Amino acid sequence: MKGALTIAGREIRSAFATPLAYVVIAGFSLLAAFFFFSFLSNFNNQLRQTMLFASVKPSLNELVVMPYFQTLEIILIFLVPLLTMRSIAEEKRSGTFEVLITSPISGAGIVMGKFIGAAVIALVMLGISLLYPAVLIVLADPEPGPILAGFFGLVLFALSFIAVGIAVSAVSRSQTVAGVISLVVLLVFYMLDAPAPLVGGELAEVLKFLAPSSHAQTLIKGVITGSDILYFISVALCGLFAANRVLDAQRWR
Amino acid sequence: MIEATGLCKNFGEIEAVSNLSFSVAAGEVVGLLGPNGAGKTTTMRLLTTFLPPTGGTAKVAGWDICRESESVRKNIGYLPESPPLYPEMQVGEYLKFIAQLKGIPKKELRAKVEAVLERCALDGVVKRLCAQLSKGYRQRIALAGALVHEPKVLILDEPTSGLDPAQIIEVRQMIRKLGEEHTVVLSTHIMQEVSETCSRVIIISGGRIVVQGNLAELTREKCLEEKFLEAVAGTWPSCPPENGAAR
Repeated sequence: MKGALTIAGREIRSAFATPLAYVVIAGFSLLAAFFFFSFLSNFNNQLRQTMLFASVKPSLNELVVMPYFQTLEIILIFLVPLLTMRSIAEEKRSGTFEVLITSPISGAGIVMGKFIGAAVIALVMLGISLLYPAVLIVLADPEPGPILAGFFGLVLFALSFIAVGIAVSAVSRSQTVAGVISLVVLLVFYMLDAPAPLVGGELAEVLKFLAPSSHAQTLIKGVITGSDILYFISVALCGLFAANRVLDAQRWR
Repeated sequence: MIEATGLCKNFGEIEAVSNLSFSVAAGEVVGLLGPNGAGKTTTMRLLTTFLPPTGGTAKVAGWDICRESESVRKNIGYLPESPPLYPEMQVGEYLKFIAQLKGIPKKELRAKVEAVLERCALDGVVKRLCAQLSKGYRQRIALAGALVHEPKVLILDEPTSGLDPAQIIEVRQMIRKLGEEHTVVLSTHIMQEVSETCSRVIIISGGRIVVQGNLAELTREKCLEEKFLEAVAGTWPSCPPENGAAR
């Protein structure tokens, strides 16, 4: 564990010593701000219309925060590969991987360190995106509970995707290849339930359960359930386990 | 200090090294000599537990490379062929990171890093980024990384490749000095390097040991160069073997 923290620390310092972390975080924040603003102006339009007819008041949570978090999910599919693609692939290419493997640290320790490193950067990124809903809490009257639950869901979503991205990065020596494969894998994984209406029956239920969107959806709605949390933890553990197995298998090749 | 018995490593169909048996006593500086592609790097990767052997085993510093690889890794310093540096890190930071990886306790970190900086004459560049330094410096930083935890066994893969003549002399002097405290295995294909730094020679070609022995004994009748050419004559120039597999 100590070794994992050493690797994580180096990972974070390196990311902030190069433009990478700044570019990814800035890009994410910019996109987040854009979508938040457009959902908010959409909400204002609806508010103006309902004022004319004085029916039910539109909800900030439903019209701004929920679609905002859902959009961030999709942005994460594209940005997580950028965060994870270099993690192991780059070490292999530059030869530093030999130092990691020949130091008294297990493969699991290396994978864990890489995961923690990327997770911290992702948390900084997501933390910034929470600022916009926080402004809402200060200036208006959304329900804070569902906002926090949704954010929690977003964090779990990001962590599980990072684990998968690291597993893919362990496969390749090339950052670009790792990045492209992660993007495809994460997109397919995210869309896993898309064919559900076509296939129907039990298979559809299985696909719906395996896809992350429905689990994230419940959390974003503000409902925290054990099974959804367990789902994301399982995905993350599967990713980390796969990464560790890939490292092992490559040594025995 | 190192006891290899029947080490083999295959990459698929290709036999990279086969049936290597040799031993290195404590305090020896041993040169692993051979033409390019002879299996020097593979041998070193086996000894450093970077790759597991397909057959046979070895004991390094008293531990088995297959079953007790973690203890082996604690007791070796490895300098790979290309300096394993992180370009965005400062020299001091890098060495601290390596020392932490090697499991040096926090309160000894500073002292160890400072000691190795002085030993490798890197005091002047502590705050510089690895990417900005010349090849000679980078090689020395990598060597410092291999030395920082004061390992019993040092494994150096072509420590002087790519250096200029002055730096080569400098590194060779360092290796001679290292031999006083550590057991050193170095690989090279430069004869002169062996005769200047090593006490014993192992010549491998085509993945097999063709000659091993004391430098003084080997060079009694003929010079090392003739001995080398004679030893590798059967297996080199390394034309592809019959099945066409490259070594």
